[in-house]
Amino acid sequence: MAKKKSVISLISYDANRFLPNSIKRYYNYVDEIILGIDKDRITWSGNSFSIDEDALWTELSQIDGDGKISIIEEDFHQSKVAIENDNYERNFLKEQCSHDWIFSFDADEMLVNAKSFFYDFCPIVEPYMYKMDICMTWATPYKVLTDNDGNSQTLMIANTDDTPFFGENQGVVTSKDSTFTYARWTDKSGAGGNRLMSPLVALHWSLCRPEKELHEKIHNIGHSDLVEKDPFYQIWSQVTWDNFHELENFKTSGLGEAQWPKVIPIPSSQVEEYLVQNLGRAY
Amino acid sequence: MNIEIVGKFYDNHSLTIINRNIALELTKYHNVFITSLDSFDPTHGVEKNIVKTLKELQGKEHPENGPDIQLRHSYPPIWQWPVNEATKVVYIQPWEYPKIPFEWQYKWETFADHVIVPSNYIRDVAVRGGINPKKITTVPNGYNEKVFNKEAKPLTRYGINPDKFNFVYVGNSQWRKGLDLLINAWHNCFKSYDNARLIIKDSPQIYGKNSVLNELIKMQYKTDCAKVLYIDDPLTDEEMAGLFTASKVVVHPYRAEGFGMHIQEAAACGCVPILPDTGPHQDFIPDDVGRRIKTHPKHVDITSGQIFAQKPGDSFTMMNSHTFMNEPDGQSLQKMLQWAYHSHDKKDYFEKVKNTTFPNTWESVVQSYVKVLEDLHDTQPRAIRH
Repeated sequence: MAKKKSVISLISYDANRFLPNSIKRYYNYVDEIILGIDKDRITWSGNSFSIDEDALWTELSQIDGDGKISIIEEDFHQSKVAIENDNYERNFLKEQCSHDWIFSFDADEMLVNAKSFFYDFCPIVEPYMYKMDICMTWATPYKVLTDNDGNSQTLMIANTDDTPFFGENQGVVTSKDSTFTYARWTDKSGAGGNRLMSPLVALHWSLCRPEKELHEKIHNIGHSDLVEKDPFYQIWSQVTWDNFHELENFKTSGLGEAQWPKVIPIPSSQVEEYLVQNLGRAY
Repeated sequence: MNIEIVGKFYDNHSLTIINRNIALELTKYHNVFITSLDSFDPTHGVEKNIVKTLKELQGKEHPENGPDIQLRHSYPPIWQWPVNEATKVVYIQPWEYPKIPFEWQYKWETFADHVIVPSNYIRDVAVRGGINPKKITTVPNGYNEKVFNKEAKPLTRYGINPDKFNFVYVGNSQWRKGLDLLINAWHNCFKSYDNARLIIKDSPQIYGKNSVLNELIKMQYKTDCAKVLYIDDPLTDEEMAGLFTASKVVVHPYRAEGFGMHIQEAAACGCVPILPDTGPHQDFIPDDVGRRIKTHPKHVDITSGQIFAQKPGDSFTMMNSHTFMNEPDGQSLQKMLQWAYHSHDKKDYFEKVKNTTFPNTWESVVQSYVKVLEDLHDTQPRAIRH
């Protein structure tokens, strides 16, 4: 019998936009979903946030036909250091999980190939779940623009040959005996060892959101101290349909170490299809 | 006779296992004391009473005039002169590749009183490299027949099911071990619906971390091959014996090997060996036990990092960069794996291995050591010492 799986995820300023859609991607494949929300509606960086809670609870209850979702309220802003609050919240939520296999997906991550990951891949790695953390690959949309014909186009981070850029991995699966030490990196995987790569790809909407929301995001994430002085936000706001092709070999802000080769426009309705066609390149 | 053994004694590296067993057995014949290059670490799971005896041998007072013979077994070899001029130096030296470093030939000729190698394959390599044939003797590595036998309780941890048709591979991902050949063959031979399993026992504590597990998982996901179990925990001798009795076949498609201790241990536990058609195992696995993979000589650059992972102390002067190695044929390996799983006549092979006696117990091996050391003791030291 397969090991039961718990998911932890976080409710914050972007929950209305992303969280229900993110949960829908994995709901059927896991046994429990623990969502954390700060009891004072304060971010890890100490700023207040507000969301449409009625709408969120309604949407979540519509998804939760099997009663898998629990919401935990707690003080997740005790430290003045954002990353400490980030770690604390994840560890606190982990402790509330009923199962040993802990999956951690953030609200702005939409799993592209969840079925294959949970059905085909997880049984293979289950014997190693206590020793190794599992990583997924991010596919990163950069900015949504309108082209000259009025169509919505999503600029995707891409390689020079226009295939999706799959150069960034994130640890997302661990076991209950681990401790989150830097966001989702744990005492097992944080130093670079004990990591298993996986075929799982998530469309990571971290940066690709309306300007006001992006501003809110980069000032409230766990590593917000790293991005405060970063030119990323200023460059991002200046990118238009007319100049996006000038973005080449550019920096990713405080979100990773990789250089991004370029961006390419994909019709917004075809972003997932673009990724699905290239999944074999991620693993 | 006073004998000092210098080497590691407390981990589970093959050299250490040999040192441990020689030391324990040799005390029955002579006054043995040990100089250990490592210290006790409980994670290696060495039996308590063995550790106690080793500690006693380590703490023993050294004879006033030094040992009569200093038996050195380490990698890289220790090249220092013995403290006492009268002490004779004997090297136990494993090697795997078809050429020995020139320095070894020079230094052994200069001041080694004798060299013991574990297989005739290495002896031939050393003699071809210029060692005086009179100065080098083959004494095989032994095994503990009280632990490694057909009655050992099968291991059922790590998801091992003894009712499956388990193939076992013991070794790391070094190129010479041929794990890459086995992985390639595996996904071509067996699919997830087959009852076959491949168990890989690695030792990253000794040979360093690697990406084998990631590769094995990717292979299973992408090819839907039969399940592979990967074990990188240190196992005790008893657990290793249980791994072998839980398995039907030991497969080792090596390109270069010095002896292959686990082959002997696995066969003693009843595993049918699938091995290359040439190599050091020919000293202790009869030709009609198990099956053989065809090999062909392959030209390689031995100084390539892929072929030979250099360590501090290695030296390649005059070793030459190019040589031939015995490359196991991938198709032949596949054939052997499929034969083991599917063939109706394999019962005969299991009977054969079960009825074969593997003579290299530590007791008998150390008797050979005693003979070499006593013969040497009766000779004069080399002239260069005076």
